[in-house]
Amino acid sequence: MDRLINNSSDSQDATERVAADPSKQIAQLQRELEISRAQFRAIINKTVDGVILLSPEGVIRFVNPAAEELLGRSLDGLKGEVFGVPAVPGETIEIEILRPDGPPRIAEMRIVETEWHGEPAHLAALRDITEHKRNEEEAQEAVRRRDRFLAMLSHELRNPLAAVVSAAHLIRRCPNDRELLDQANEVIERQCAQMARLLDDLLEVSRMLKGKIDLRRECLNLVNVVEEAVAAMIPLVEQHQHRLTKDVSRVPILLEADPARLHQILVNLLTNAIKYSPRGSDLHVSLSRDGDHSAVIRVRDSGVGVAAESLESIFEPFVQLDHTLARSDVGLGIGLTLVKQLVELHQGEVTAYSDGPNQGSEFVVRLPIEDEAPDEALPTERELDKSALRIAVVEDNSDSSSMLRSLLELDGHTVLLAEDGQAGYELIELQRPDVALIDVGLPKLDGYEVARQLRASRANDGVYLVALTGYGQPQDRRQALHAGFDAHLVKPISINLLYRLLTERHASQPDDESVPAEDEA
Amino acid sequence: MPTFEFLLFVSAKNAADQRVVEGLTSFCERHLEGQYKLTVVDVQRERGEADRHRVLATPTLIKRHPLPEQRLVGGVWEPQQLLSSLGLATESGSAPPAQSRERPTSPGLRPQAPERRE
Repeated sequence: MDRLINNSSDSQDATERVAADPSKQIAQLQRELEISRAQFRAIINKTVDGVILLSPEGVIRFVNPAAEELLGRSLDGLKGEVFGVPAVPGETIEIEILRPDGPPRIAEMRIVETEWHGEPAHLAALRDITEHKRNEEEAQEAVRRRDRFLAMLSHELRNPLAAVVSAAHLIRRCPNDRELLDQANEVIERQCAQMARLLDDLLEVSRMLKGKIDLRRECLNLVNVVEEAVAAMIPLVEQHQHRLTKDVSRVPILLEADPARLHQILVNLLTNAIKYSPRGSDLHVSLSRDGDHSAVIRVRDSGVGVAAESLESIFEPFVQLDHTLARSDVGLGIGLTLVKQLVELHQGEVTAYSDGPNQGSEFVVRLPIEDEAPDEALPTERELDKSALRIAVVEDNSDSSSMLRSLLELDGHTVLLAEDGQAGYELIELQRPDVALIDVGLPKLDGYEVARQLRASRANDGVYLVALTGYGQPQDRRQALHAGFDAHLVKPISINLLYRLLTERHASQPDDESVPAEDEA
Repeated sequence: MPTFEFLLFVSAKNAADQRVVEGLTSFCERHLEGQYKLTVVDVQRERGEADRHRVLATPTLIKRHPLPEQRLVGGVWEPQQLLSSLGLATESGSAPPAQSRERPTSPGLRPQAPERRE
């Protein structure tokens, strides 16, 4: 504060000017003092650290706005309260602030000795480190969880390894016992498969946690995915002597999704249900449509259940249910993490329900589905025979375009090829095909630009433009539609979905007056 | 009634506060053996008690008796600081046996373990 007064640059000149008149001199000094006070107040009021001035007995004399905020009380309410004599000056210590409303805050407190109105005082500077501490605790918890996981991993890998080593010994000692050799072989195969599964899970989770999983979406029938997953689990169900019942929709439920990932979701949930239920339990799987926009898969077991406080955390990596029941074949505690991540990648959600330990549990997966319920399943290739079309394929990858061409020609369509954007534009402009499948990443002129230029002329209105992209995000679809495409397919394209688009296109054409009639095949 | 009566407000989930409880207990055992009563209050469980004593932060130590009441805040209490706060420090700075200055009010007084209100 002294420095503020002495350093005032105008102070010297002003003092000389008013030196002759003592009253002016006093007024000048008062003005300077006022300025200096205002500066001091501004510094104290604007500093982000809380500042508390305490009497030698620990009684609060002053707090700045940051300290008012931290303590959750106003200066008026705090003045005269006993905060306490702070710890040894110079030390930085942590204290927890008790606020009248809301949770406590953690602060770092530093003390310096000072004066206040001529009396000795303690100045306590408080820095809010609540957020920092929370992050630190979360990081520590993550490390603890990872340590537990590593311990679990080595245990889980050691078990199958021990069996493999025993089998190897057997083979060496009884090289002529056919029956024993077969048995040892089976053990090795089974245990290696188990290890491979553990390692796959592990790699998968690490990719997932780094956000490195891409979905290969295609239009599929969820009913088939569920039926296939259930069928794949039958041997494990039988091994545990469970009774598995299912109630799966008879009407196809269509959605754009990655079939391998959906399979993984179901297999993980079913595996959990099987493993965490005592031998001979009842398991139930159901799939139904819920309104126009979502499908619901339920996997219910009558097993170990989940305590209420764990219902949310079981989806976190490396958290495991109590697995005393199935000690011989527990996983790594990452199955449900995978499920959650995969469901969320499909814009869905998964929830766990349980009435408590040993009350069984139910996992409910809700997935968004295509808006309209189609009356029938996807058209087969045969149904399209009578609707042969002229189709342009604009694609710079010659393997992709020749495969696509062969498939389309097999169904009687006429295919025209172009390998870059400029050639594609000219081809379409000249030939006016019924459909043009255009890769968006093309040399010379990208696919979006091809669509824009084609759409600039009404003469091309009759050409059904389909964008082929490597990305399935909503914004990619929007970008394609915005450029003038009629539809958007993610590569590798599903031939079924393409046929569905073509069928829809074919069905809609007679009503569409803008389509030039001579182009109809 | 013990000569010294302390209330120690801590947040039990905080490991540093646990050390404060241990440190203070051993200090009392060493310097005030048989003459003190230490009550530990976990503010997580007994917030009302903290409000009643107008405690603003933890850890806070209140010396209720002998008067005047004194309050220390923040955990780093050096034995020397505690002794001087309690009016027990000698010129040389060494900690004398508590009995040299403060005699138990009751001759039959026995050492007391800290009472925990948790």
